[in-house]
Amino acid sequence: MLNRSTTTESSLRPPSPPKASPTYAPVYNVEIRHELGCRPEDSMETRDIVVRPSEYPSLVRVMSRTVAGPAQKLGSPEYLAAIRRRRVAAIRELVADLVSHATREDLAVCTFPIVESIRSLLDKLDDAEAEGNTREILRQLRDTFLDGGWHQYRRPDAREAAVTVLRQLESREPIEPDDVTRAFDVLWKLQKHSLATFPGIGDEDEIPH
Amino acid sequence: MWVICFGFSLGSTKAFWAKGIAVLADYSNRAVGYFAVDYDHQFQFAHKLADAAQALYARLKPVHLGVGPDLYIMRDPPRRLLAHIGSKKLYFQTLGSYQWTEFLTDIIASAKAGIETLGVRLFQRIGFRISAFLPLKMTHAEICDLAFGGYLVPKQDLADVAGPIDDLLVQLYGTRRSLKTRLSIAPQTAAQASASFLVDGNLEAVLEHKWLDPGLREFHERIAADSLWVDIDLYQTEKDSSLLEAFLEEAVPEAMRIIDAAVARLMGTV
Repeated sequence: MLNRSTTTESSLRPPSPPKASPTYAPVYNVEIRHELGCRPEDSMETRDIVVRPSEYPSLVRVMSRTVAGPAQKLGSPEYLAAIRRRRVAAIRELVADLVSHATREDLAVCTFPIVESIRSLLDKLDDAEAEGNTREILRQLRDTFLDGGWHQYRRPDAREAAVTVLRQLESREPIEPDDVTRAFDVLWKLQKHSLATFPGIGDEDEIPH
Repeated sequence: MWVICFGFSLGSTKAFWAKGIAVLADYSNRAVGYFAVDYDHQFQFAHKLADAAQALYARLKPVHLGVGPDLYIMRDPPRRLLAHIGSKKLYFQTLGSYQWTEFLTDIIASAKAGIETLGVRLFQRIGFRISAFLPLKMTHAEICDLAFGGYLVPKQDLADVAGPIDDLLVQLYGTRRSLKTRLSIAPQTAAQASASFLVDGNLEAVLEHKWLDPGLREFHERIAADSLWVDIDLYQTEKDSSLLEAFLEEAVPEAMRIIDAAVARLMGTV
């Protein structure tokens, strides 16, 4: 919600002045609440208030409250795209670094941080309207590590395929449905060699747009 | 009388965070540029100053010429350019950064002519500076958040020294080839951008008429928004005056490259 203001209408009616107090002034309380959204934009709202004639001077008290919390939310498309590029670059380095661990029997230990990083990024992009295709590609990539899929990353071509997909996420702007298709093709070829898992069949229900 | 100070800026609206896009090419109208040469006062300068100003004027061909105490002022509102030459300083200032690519030849030729006619042999300092207010389509809080991990260590690593951090200023000093560099980077709110721009002196001198020309007001309206402020100062000290041209030919593209790199680091396109 962008800038929004509300007025408490119920407080507009002046109370009846007590007869014992001849100098009583009617009090009108007007509360204005400005709620700033995460994408601040200027806006203006006017509200007419009728102050009824009275024997004594009327006091109109206007309380304006700005709710700035949502404005600090980190959620603009540009911000989330920058987060995506940065984290994907870090994940790509982790994948490329697997070359030095490829012969380890417990390679899964080394692929665990990659899966966790992908999950963390998916979580961060969960509400991003413009990153639906990114999430789909990340889920496909994540799935290639699951159910024993990490074994394939002993092979250079497997690592190179993942790096190719990640580079795509770093360099393309925005990530389009065609990018999802391309990533699927790359990962599918990878899967055909060995695999226990099929990319794109995850347990999440995000729909790319 | 004109009061001379220092400052800079950039400006436009393209997805400059895509790799290979020059930020200043798109955002020239949100930047201010400065070029200044400082030299020691010599007795003979008093006799040569008028000739030096004439030599500078002949090559720069500004619209307006003014005279102040110990200096000549040249104003060129169509190019949003100000120049002055005095017995201790030669100075150029622009509203916008495009002048440093489109008119660099004129600026170099006029500066060289002025310096040579004045008989300056040694520069105490020669410097080129660009100050840009870059709209990244992000809030101040978002730019601030991205600065961590981009220019600074992760935010949580600084919690013990600063607590919850809601603003920052990064200054980096270094050397790039023959140039000393001072890079300042800061997320700015609309109020901060406005305030930092308004302290800049002299800019009214690039207007045709300071009350009627809306150039400065429009510039201020453009930059008064959440933005990334990038200020790059490239300089040399104790340099032979014959190196003026070489300095500008190196410093101008280098300043723009550094701004590109600073933005790319924030946006994750490095």
